[in-house]
Amino acid sequence: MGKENNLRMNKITVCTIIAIAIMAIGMNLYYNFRNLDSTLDFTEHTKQHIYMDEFQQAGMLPDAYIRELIKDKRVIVPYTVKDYMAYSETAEEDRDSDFKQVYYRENNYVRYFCEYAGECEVNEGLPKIDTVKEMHKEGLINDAAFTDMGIANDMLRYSFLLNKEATRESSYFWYAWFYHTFSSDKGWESRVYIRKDEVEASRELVALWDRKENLYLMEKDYYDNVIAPACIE
Amino acid sequence: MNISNIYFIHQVMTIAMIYISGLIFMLLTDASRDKQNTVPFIMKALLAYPAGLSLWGVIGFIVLVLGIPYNAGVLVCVHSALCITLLFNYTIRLKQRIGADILKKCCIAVAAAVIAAILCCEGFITVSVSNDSYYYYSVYPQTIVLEGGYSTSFDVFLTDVGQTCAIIGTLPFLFGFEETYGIMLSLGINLIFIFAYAVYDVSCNKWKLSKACARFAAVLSTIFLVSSTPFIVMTKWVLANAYFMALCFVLFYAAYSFAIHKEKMQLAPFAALLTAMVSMLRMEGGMMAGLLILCMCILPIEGMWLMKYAAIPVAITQLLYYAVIYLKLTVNPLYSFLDFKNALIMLLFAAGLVLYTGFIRKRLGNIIKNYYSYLLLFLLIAGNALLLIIDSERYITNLKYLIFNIYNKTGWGMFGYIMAICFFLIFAVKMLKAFKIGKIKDLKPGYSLAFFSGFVLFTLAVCFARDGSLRLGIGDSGNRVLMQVVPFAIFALIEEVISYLQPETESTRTL
Repeated sequence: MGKENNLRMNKITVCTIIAIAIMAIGMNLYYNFRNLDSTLDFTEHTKQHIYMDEFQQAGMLPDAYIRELIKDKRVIVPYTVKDYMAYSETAEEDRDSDFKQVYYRENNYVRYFCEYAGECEVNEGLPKIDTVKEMHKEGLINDAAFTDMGIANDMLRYSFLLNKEATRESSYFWYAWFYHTFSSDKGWESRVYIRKDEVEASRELVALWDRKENLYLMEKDYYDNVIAPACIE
Repeated sequence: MNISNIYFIHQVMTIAMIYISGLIFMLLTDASRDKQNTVPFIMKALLAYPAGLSLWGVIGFIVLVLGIPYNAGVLVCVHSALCITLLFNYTIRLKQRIGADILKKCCIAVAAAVIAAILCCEGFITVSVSNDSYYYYSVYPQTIVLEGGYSTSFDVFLTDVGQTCAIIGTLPFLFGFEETYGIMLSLGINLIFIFAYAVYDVSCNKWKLSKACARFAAVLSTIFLVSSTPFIVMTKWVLANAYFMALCFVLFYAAYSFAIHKEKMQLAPFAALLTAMVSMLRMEGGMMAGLLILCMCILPIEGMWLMKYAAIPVAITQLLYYAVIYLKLTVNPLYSFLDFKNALIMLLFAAGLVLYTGFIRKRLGNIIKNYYSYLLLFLLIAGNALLLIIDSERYITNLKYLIFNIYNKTGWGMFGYIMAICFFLIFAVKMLKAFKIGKIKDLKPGYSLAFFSGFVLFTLAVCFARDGSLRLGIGDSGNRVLMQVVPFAIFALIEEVISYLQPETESTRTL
């Protein structure tokens, strides 16, 4: 009799456990069905690239697009990399506390393109950061001719990977600068502008950037025919 | 053929090669001479992909820390040399042969792996990409490939990024594709099958359930695992957590399985490889692997075996890595998760593990041996209490945010609530039963429960070691580390339930 009771108790316990398990699975499924998409952004990756179409609307990871774009292309940049000591006479406006901001401003994109592009060429005759700023102000570089790919601050934050000269300062500067500017001054966002369809079809690209490190990436023909004549004028 | 198709084919082929190299490793390192007493092929086939990934990660890691040029040629040569050595050892020294039936099974296993790889690379299983996914596990690995090795300029990447995970991230840049989503998702799918097999194996062989009951337990618990929000989040989020959760569970189960079936101890090289891989998958990986080894001491596994195949691999990987980054590269970031002080603590911990498993454990008295799991948990609680005394504000803030993240379901869904209720119920009924029959010592936590509880306590301690406090939000690293606990929590719960239903026997209580 006792054995039968035990058996019955065991059956009831097992059934209860199974019922609890099914309820738990049901709760999970119900929650996931209602809320999973708002928990995290999930995307399909049918194109086999890190950069997905949704990223452009969100202005996310523009460098994931650039990296794939430039890997077989020739990119022309306006500076050669200069070492930290070359900036010993730095004006106050080009500093950020103890850091020579101009050093990073001039060299980071050069380092980036020279590392990740198929080929990198320096043409010191290209407009420098102040000229680009002026040209933009006067409408000679027209944002409408470019696609706004989003902010570049994260890309710059990690550019210290390529800086073999002032490693500690470089990493610290970019982290501090990134968090500082993001927490206090939205006006410091650096944006990436690309002539998307044209650069995809072109073999030679020109990269220009201004003091805020807004990057303008264009095909060489566009630079030769539109930007360079305006620059001479 | 467009670039997407080329990338797709390259990624599928890479997954297949990883699987094949893992399968060769699993077959050739199983040194059993007795055919009746060999490890089942299904287990080798299931563990082949984790083995292949670990092989890639550990070999890449050794190449990098030894300063050998890191490129596809060198890595393929090292893999081939290892395969030839294993084959020589297997056929000439051990006088073993791989029969036609095994080759047939291998073909079926590889075909299944390729089908899974195609599904995972096709792109319809969604993934989640964040900044860390891209910079830590794509830009950094690409730069390693471009530079051909480590550089001082990698700076905070060397102190904050899981190195073996970054080495998996180099695969696209060595073999011509761009992302590793298929590689990661394949491991997630593999984990589901390994979990089901683990529940079946332990239910059947440790708790002596009938095969039908064990199958039912495996299916039900696996459905619960797959439906759990944190499991979905972890397996789809492109970060080291996906690899850590999967490979740590494989190591956890492998040790358990070794204790149940003594013949599986022959897979010792696999255990050593996996331990080394896990210890470098995340920055706290060495600590977590150490905790797992301490929990393995609950199992009837010989101390020397644990020292040779678990503790020493952890100690060697940590020692090599710290020597390279602090002595050779003289990396000194202005702030980072891993600093010189934490590295020294880790090395002391690793040295302690080697001494404990190899020399101290066997000299311990029976009382300590019998109550080892209690002692382990007590020490972890005491360690946490010490941290609370050192900086109560930081500790309480961390604890508060970890609890709030579960309470607010940020990435956790209903999982936290379900587990809290289930564990409360099972402990309540188990305690009632134990008091009723006067066997309070039967409440002693076993291997799974000890590791699950230890994991939670250890996460709190590891978060404390990080500069600054945790924060509310799914992306908080402490929250993500805790979410890795899902398969262990479910496994521990299943064991508690089965042990409650089973009449206690001596053989089951010893594990």
